[in-house]
Amino acid sequence: MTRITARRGRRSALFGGAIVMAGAVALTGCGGGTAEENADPDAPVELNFAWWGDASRAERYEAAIDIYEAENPNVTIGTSYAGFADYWTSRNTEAASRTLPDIIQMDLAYLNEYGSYGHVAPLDEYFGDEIAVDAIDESLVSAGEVEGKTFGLASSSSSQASMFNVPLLEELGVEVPTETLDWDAYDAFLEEISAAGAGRSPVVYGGNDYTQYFWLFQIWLAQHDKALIEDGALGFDESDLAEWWGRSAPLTESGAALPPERLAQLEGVDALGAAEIATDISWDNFLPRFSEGPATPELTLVPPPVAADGATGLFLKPGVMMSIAGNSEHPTAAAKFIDFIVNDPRVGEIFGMSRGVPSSETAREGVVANELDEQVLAFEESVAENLEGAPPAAVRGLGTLEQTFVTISQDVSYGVVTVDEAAARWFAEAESALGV
Amino acid sequence: MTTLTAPPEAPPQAPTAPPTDRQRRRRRGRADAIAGYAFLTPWLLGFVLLTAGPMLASLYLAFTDYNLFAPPQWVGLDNFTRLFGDPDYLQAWKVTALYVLVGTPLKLVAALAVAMILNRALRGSSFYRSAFYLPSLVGASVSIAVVWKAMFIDDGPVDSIQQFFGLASGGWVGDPDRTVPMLILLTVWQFGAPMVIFLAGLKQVPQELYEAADVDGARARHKFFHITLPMLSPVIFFNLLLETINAFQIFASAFIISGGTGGPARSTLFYTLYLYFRGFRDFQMGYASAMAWVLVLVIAFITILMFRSSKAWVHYAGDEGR
Repeated sequence: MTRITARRGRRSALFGGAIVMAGAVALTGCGGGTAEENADPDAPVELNFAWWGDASRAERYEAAIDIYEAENPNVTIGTSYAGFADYWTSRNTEAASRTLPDIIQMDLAYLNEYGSYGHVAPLDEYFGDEIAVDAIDESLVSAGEVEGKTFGLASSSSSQASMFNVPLLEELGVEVPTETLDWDAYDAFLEEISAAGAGRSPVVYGGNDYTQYFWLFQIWLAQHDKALIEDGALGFDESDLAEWWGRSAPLTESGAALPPERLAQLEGVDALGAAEIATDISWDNFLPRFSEGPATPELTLVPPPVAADGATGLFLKPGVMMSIAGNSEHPTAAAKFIDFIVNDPRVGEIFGMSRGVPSSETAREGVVANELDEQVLAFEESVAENLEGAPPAAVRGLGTLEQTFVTISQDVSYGVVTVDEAAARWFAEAESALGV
Repeated sequence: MTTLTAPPEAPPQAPTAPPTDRQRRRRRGRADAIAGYAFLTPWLLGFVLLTAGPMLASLYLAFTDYNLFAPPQWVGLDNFTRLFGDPDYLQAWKVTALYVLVGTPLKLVAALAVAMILNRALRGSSFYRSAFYLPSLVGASVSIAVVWKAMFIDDGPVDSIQQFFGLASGGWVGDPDRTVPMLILLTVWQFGAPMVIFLAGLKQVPQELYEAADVDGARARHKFFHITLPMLSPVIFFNLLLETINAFQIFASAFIISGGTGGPARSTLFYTLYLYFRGFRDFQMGYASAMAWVLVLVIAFITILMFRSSKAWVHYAGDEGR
């Protein structure tokens, strides 16, 4: 009996190994299928399309696919979807066995892994023919590049923004700043809110410890004329990161930021949406999500803090991207579908802002915007006119950089490591992930 | 009682043919063997394809750099040497060791204590037996971890009790010092499976031993240490081994309670959780395989140690003659 149990133990520990094995066998056994286009444009084509997202996204995609299939009767599109983490586990396994669906939703974090090993196909040859890109901001198109080729096309974009719960601030008697604050003034502002909100139930804090936000750090770097990634390597050094994380302790100690113990308990609820904090910094297209929180706060979008010299460092991050599988047998048909999903105003109408602000102007024209959408659209357009930074290049291991940043910054927030230790640790992880 | 620890014995062979006809017996034996293997085939296939094969593959991958996307590259012992310089790896061992060393004994003590209470002929004892067994049936499930988390948040039931007794208030979920204790409580609460086994063991302790001890004027304490524990030692050994091996593999509850992060501040970064992160979050399948093999070796080593030590403290009835 005990022998059986011991074996079961190993089996479970090696469950990962099982998947790897399956992948390895498939990779060596049946790699390298070549794409073969059917010459006849009306010949029936079957495409598969997979995405991550919830049920409401699935309904929207299905509605868009219905339109597409009605207009292209020879095309049938099979679909599958899952949550973000499960989605990537499935895609990674399929990538290893070269059985990816023809069209996949792509994220900047994994673009390099998929692009540089040929798991997704370059889109450049379709640009201008099957896929129109003139209605999309240049910085968003080039964000899909890996080693000079474009492997993903952003269907949406988002920008970092501060969100103020103005009615709550007024209730607390805190003056809402009219100009964009610099970092020190912002910290003082958060502290003022916390001081005013301490007596309430639940206690209201100024904001979250924003030093945990990877993408905000990118903005802060751009304000200092640096970048996360430069020429495939890190574009800053440990002292920069230590300086950034050095802002965390004063925020926690003064009580300006929500304590990490509290933050760890909020799951499925955003502190801003629950009105436990009066401001936060996040992606602008999350505005509807925060606004629908349990406290239904009335939020106003304002630019995130700026450098003392007024530099904003703002950039547009490519949102949900579209890629064609390297093993697809119908890449041209897939490209046409991507053009439809990214550019068509009817798709814009179906999706609204739910995938983020549509990257394509033609799709944006279709959006029937409500009040919140209007705010996000207006904010993002103002950002697009004053771009100072660019999204980081899609390097290998970008996803790991972000994940480890979040994990280590939590240690910083709890004060269990010094900022120098934390920065050294992140650099060790980052350099191993980037392979530099 | 010994049947619990001894591997199941093969059923006695039915006499198949008269002993004089050796040829026929041999042929019949071969046919039996073929039939046996035929019946075993589904299991053998499963074992070779789903267990042994993947294990061998992962043993190979442990010596490679493999990210799922490109073919594995041989790196020799690099993955293993890297383990010992990895602060997160050491943290994972620290957290896991704490969980195993504290959680397992506590769970067994709780199981034994409840088993002894239920062993008395109480009214409705079968109801209590089921009631105490229930948590271990549902305990491994996702929903229980979610409920457990909800119990330990700010102003949750546990916090309310703390406040009632004037203890330090606040939830446990966000406090790195109290997340492992919280998970230990969860595993201790699931003492049902070892309890049922203890109960079966207690029923088999011969009553005349207690009667004899009573005649000699032994107290309850003496009876427990000199009769119950020695007579129960094979069952204790079995439970200890099983629960230790299980404890090393804690994953689901930690994954859920930390929201899939191993946090707060890495306080729930258990070994298997970290292995999963390395493999499936960071695409370091080689490194993750190396971690898996080190875990296998450590568990195997501990199992061997336990078997060796068992000779000194496990008492099998009827062993005296040997």
